[in-house]
Amino acid sequence: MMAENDRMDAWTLHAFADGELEAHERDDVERRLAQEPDARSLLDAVRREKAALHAVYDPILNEAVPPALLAAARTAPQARRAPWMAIAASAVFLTLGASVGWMGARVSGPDELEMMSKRALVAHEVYANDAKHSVEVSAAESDQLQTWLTKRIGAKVVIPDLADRGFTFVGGRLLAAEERPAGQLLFEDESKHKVAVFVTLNANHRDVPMQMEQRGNLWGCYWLDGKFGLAVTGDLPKEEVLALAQDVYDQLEKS
Amino acid sequence: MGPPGRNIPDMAPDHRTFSNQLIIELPYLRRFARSIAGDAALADDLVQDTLARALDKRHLYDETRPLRAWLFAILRNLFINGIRKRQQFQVVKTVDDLVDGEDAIAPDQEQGISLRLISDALERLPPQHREVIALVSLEEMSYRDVAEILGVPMGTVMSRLSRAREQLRAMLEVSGTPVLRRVK
Repeated sequence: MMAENDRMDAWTLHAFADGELEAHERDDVERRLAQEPDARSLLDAVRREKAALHAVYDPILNEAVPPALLAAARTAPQARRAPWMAIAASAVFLTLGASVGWMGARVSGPDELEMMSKRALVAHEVYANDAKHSVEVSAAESDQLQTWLTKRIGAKVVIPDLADRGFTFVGGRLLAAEERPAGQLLFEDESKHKVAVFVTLNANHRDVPMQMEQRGNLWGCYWLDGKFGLAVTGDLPKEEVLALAQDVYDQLEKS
Repeated sequence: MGPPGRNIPDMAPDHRTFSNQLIIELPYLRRFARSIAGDAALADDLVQDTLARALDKRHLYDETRPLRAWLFAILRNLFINGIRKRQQFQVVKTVDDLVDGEDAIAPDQEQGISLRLISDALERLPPQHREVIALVSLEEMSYRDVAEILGVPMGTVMSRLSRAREQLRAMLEVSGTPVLRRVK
């Protein structure tokens, strides 16, 4: 066993060899090296070790990278994910309108993404269960709603068809999200379960796979694709909220 | 809705940039993988899994930190988890195995054999010593980055490094590796 002092010295020498010391510490080590053969020997060993490792492994840096790895690096995330995850990166049911100016607010980081999820869940709580005013514009005026949201959000909003899952469109509203407008599209099934689609602009074109979050009796799944930040929320089991997402994904695949 | 896939962006510019950054890191990922995994095919599998994970978990990448360190952390965790799952390194060979003469190779061999001895010796180190040597001596990462990659305090990095180097040196001196013996 080495004495504590020796160990400290060895650490200092390693740090010296690895370029971790400040200038004055380096000077100190260099002075001491002249009088300490053991320290010189350890330092030489470290330097030889480094040189040897580079001699063995550096040729790999010059090898041609296998095509499979290049392809993997270029693969967009959605291509490798399980089908239900692929929804995260595609434009699904919302298509970009003709170059409407979508400057301004950004969804730029995980925090903002989480805030979007929270906003969507809260908006669902606040509006979807309001007996009289759950929507601002009813399904009877879908065309006007679609035009309005498209104009305010800045990209063409298309109302998805969830009828196969037993959900009919109730209507929607404009929301004041933190930095920009957002839309909420509300659906309902026969047993009065509600599903809301929350849509905002993703000005940064970040692709973030679908994630799920629970709030009270609600489940939400949210993601970013090239143009939109989206969240689907519902007072339904997690699996059913996911299934709705998959259903929408399948619709796109078959269209 | 138009023709199939019409609305799927081919590859957003942002994604292309990230892919290009990954491609730049590929040689270093391969070198690091080879140095800790040993086997070339296993190493490239690790790199492939690392790319998939990086693309999936990209939103977790802190862009103020070096991309390479983040990728190394992913690769290293995949490797360690793989060891745990497969338990393929149940018996870690030590310097004593060499003293007993197992795989002993006479000194004064050609350089090719010396080099092989070094990679053999590295493989004989326990994984947590092997990775610290690979990250510091080969990949020349800072102690701070290594501590982040391994998820341990800097002091732990330094004590592991010190012990790992002692072990490596002992093994190579026993096997008489000329490369490590030569002065200067």
